[in-house]
Amino acid sequence: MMNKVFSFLCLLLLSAKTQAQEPMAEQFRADGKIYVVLAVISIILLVFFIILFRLDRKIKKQEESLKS
Amino acid sequence: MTGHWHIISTLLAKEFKLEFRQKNTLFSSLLFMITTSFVCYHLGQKSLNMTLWSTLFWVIHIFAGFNVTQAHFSSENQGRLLYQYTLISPGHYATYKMIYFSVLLFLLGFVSLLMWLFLGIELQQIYIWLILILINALVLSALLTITSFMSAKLSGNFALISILSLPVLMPHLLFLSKITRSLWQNSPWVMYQKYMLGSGLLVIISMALAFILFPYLWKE
Amino acid sequence: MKWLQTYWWKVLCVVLIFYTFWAGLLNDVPRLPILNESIRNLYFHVPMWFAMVGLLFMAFLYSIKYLSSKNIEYDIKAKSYTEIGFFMGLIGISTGSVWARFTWGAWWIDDPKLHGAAIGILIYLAYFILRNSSNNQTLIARFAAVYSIFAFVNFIIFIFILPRLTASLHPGNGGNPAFSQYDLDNNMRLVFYPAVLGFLILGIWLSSLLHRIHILQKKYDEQSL
Repeated sequence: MMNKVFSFLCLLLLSAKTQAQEPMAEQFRADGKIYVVLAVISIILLVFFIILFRLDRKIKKQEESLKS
Repeated sequence: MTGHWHIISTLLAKEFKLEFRQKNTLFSSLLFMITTSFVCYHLGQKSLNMTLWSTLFWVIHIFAGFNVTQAHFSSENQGRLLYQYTLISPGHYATYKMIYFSVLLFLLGFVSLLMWLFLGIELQQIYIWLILILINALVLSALLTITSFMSAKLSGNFALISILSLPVLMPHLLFLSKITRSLWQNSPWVMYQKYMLGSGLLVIISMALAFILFPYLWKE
Repeated sequence: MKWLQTYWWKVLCVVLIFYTFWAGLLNDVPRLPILNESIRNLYFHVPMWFAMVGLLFMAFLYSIKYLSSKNIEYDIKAKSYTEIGFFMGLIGISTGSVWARFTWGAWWIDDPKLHGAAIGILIYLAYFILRNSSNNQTLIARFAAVYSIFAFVNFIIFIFILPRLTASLHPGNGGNPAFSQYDLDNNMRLVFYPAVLGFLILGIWLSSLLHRIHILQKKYDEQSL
């Protein structure tokens, strides 16, 4: 257990020191492009959930009409 | 407890007597195993390495198991089933079928192993192979009692039994392949004992599950 | 507000999924070799599997309930949960495959967890074939419930116990450091656990919708007879 904590702390320290070592998508994010991706995804999710809620309501209506 | 065993042993004795009188299922499966093994021996053209041989051996054993159980359950006609339904409790029926199939499958595997030894396969630690055949027979019989009963009731073809049983057999087959690999690499016991333990556990779980679930299949 | 009272869990689901995508893409992640940014897949691929196991577990419970009470509604519920669970399993396998192609170099490798996933798909495909193989409803319901129980136990053994015994490339098995050590630092946990919850609730919501559609279908069939 202590071993794990120790090695994790080492990893944190190392990563704090060597920011430039592992290539991440900084340029992509710096250009603000990540927000475009996020906006697209949000639109897709929004449409998906709207469809899901409408389906829910349609089924509920059918159940009501069948009960009466 | 002794009452239960008495019922099961009577049923088993009756079934074995029937089998040897009719000579139907057992001998046809035996012939199936022997001919298939012989065909594989020829196709392999004496260059069967251990991986290929053990794969073929277990595959033939499993499909012989499918054959035996399917033939057995589909040859039971409706009248006999009804008669048994009124007399025997499902627990007894499940146990006696499982023991019956285990014995049959073990015999089939044993004879097949003898035949391969005769044809010239070199095997060390034959007693471990026998234990493996026994484990395979037990797991197969537990699983097949359920699935071939279902398949016979649904008048399913051979495909249904294989589709239902093979994926569920996969954990057991994984253990089996690891153990056989250790065997022909001649690894010491400690290398593969955890797989043996796992196999044994799987046998117990399969048989317990089959025993618990069978009564639900049985109700009409 | 009464609407919110009955639907609160669906709104929670929407919130969680949006949060997963937003935080998943914008938050900082540990910088690791080979994986780089694709570690973010952890927020999407793994919750699919957790949700699948959760849904199949619900199907398992409802199968047991059906066998002990013979109420056909439980059987229809089990069927709906299995259908959505199977669908999520397919998504899990395809996302895992794509992720593997770019990090491990191949679409499919020889790994126990992947085998477990494939076997799970095969098992539940067999379940659906069994379901469609006859017209006798009560017989099929009984058989499918028994098979579901048998299959689920074996499936759980296969995906949770076996990988621990053997060597594997997946994190957490066969000597590789598990989640808790190498990548799931607290930042990632903040997004990971809500993601699991969000996808699980989404799966339950979809299953409940499918269940209600099946019930409606059954009622229409009975009425038209």
